[in-house]
Amino acid sequence: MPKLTRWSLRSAFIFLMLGSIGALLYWTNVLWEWLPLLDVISPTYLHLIVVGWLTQFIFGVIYWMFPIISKVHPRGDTRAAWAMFVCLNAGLLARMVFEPWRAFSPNIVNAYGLLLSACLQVAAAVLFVWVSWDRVRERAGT
Amino acid sequence: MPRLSRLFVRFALVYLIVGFILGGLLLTAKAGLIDQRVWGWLLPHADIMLVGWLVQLAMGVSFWILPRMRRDYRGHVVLAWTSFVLLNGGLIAGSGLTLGSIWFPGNWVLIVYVSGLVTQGLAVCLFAVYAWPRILPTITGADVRRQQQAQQVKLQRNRPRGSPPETRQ
Repeated sequence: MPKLTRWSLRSAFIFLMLGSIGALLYWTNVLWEWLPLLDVISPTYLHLIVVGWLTQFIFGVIYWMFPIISKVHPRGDTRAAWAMFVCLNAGLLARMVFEPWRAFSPNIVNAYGLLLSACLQVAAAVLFVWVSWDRVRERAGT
Repeated sequence: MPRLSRLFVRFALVYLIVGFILGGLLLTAKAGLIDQRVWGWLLPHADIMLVGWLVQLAMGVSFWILPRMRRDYRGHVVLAWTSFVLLNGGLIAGSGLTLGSIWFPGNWVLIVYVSGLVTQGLAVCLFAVYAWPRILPTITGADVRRQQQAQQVKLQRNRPRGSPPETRQ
């Protein structure tokens, strides 16, 4: 398993834990209203699960298991793959901070924080496709 | 990876970019930095991410790696191809066209969106019917050897008394 896959899968599991804790807090608060402040963590927790866990997990496995491009450069541009990992995780962390903050008290800092998060996540998606596109092939390269 | 899997996965990757761009615009609208009408793209964003990206990727990969019935035989592939066409037709009609709702609002949006969802549902059911017979135990080399040994024992048992033992050619 390549190093980037190990990092992606570990990071994915951390986001799964964070997302699940968020979901638990949010839905128990919906039921019993024990801390009204928790209303602001939706839909952040959902994206931590769907993007942070599921999509990141898929990326790690695609990077590992899809047919290689060639024996010299089996997985293509590794810098682009690492940049994708950094952008996705930084984008999600920014979202985790700025989205609930903006729901609680909107200001210019959290507005641009959300813009930064959006740009980082879109960049991650583009890099993800850039890295994976050549790996979608009939058979492994020689 | 067979051609249909490559198509499924490539389409899924394109939907991933489109879905993330829509999500990025929604997040920017939440920041109050762009026109709030883009909230009309919330449902297409969810549909594209869940069906266009996740479900389509799962279908493509399962067409590739589920056990084959026989060597180079993947079952009724016409069903899988039809499912691919319906899924993407449903996504383009349901989510693609409804992106225009922010410029041309009206009742047509709901009708088109729901018919797109129905088409996607049909595609998923068709794929399930296709994939069902391919959910098989994996046959390993050891299984094949065991089968051959069992067949040989059966042949020897059925051999008439006094006839010479069967030899391999």
